[in-house]
Amino acid sequence: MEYTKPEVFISVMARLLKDAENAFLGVASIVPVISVLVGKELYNPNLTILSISGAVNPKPSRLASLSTVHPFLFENARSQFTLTEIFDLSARGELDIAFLGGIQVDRKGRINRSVIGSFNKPKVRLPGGAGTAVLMPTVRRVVLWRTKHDRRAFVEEVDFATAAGNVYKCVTPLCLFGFDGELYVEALFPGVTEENIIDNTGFEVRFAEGIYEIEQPTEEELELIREIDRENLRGFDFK
Amino acid sequence: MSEIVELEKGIREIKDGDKVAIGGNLTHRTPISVVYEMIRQKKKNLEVIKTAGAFDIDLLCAFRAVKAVWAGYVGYESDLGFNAMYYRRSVERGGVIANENACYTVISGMRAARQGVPFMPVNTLEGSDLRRMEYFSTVEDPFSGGVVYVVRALKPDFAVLHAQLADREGNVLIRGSKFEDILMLQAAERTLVTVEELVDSLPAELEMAQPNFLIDYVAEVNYGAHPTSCYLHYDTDLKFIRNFQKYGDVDRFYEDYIAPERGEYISKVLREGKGWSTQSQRSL
Repeated sequence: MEYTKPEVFISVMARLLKDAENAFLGVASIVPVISVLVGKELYNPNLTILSISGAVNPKPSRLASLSTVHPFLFENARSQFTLTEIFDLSARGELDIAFLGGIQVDRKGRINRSVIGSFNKPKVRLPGGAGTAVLMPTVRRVVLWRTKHDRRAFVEEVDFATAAGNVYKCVTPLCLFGFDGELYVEALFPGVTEENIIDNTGFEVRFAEGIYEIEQPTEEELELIREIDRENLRGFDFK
Repeated sequence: MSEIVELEKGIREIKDGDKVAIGGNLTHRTPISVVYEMIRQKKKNLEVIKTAGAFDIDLLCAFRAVKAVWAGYVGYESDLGFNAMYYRRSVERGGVIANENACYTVISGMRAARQGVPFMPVNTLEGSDLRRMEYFSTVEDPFSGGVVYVVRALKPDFAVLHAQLADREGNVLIRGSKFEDILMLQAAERTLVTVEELVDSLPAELEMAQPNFLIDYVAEVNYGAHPTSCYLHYDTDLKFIRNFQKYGDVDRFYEDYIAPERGEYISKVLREGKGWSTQSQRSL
């Protein structure tokens, strides 16, 4: 079956949830929304899905918005657990996975969502880290995700460390990074070469010894992704 | 007990320089009619408190009403292009101070205020350059001797929220996502809530209302969250926000959308939205 880049990306993120207890996604996270819905349906029915909306385990009939604070995430949920309670859960060590994005990500897995330039006299004021500064050091596993892989996004050292800690994986449209104190390439997306990664990464890239190519999305995954996301919102962030 | 007021009268109680907590989150259930009224009354030097703000903070920055912002995130989501342009430029030019927090430290600061203590321990800001901000510190745990990050109390002078329903005694029912609204009601010195509808008695259902002793003023403002969404009532009016983003001339935006009286505003946005409100109910 033919597939697109966002679909491989989602399939990779969904498979990361096979052994997860619970997973949280934040603002502007439509790709993680689809990933957790697919992950729960296909790989881990016991997964608890948490989001800023405060609704637990929603079953939306359609993805009504690119906003992931939108009331569509309330649809068919049966219980509530507010954002404050999610932060408390992480603070006491019981949040398992958080999908977090960085504008800049550096070799040490630190992220910057605050400023380009200096903090007090910024060249560019970015929106801010949202929950990341306290989530990264407390959640058990951080899955970083970035829908663009280039030298502006993946840098040797961030201008400002908005948040750091507990990186488990980092997913990009080119590869899956693992983490051992530094990011290293664990697997390549189908059709991507090691050279592609080197050319598009702003730090010296390390490749795992057992580097492998990511398995293509299964027919079952693709059908479900397309059923959940009939309006193709998944492509938006990759433009 | 809360007083049922006209919006204009309630907002007069907010003073220049006040710390104002704004309810809702991003483009959802945000009291935008309150923001319009603050701009009409030319409030200045406000310190805005919010976990994640968008159109509200951008608009207040566009009309130079803001001195500082205490927030974890100020911007939009993918479909509106991330940048809160007026906020961003104001900070870059030094006109507005970005007191960047994590959303959880905004919550923790208000929890301290709610509990009447000067600061709140928080686990943790380790590894973040934000830990050096003057509103964060560390203390020694007097029991185990470890080091604990603390957040200075953040007490709003005013909290302003939008909710679906209130009764005539001023008890307020918030439906759907609560965000940080209830904490704001409890932490703030004074509070004002706009509601879609004032009713004689709230529906007898399991979901209980917020008690009126926490609420100073209630004003009935139909479509009070527009152009942000209000669960069970209307969706975000994306077209309206996009229009604002490319308006350019804020004085003209004022004349077109903030100066007109409420009825005129509503018929105008309903007309321009071409069925936005009824269409959008399906997706809520």
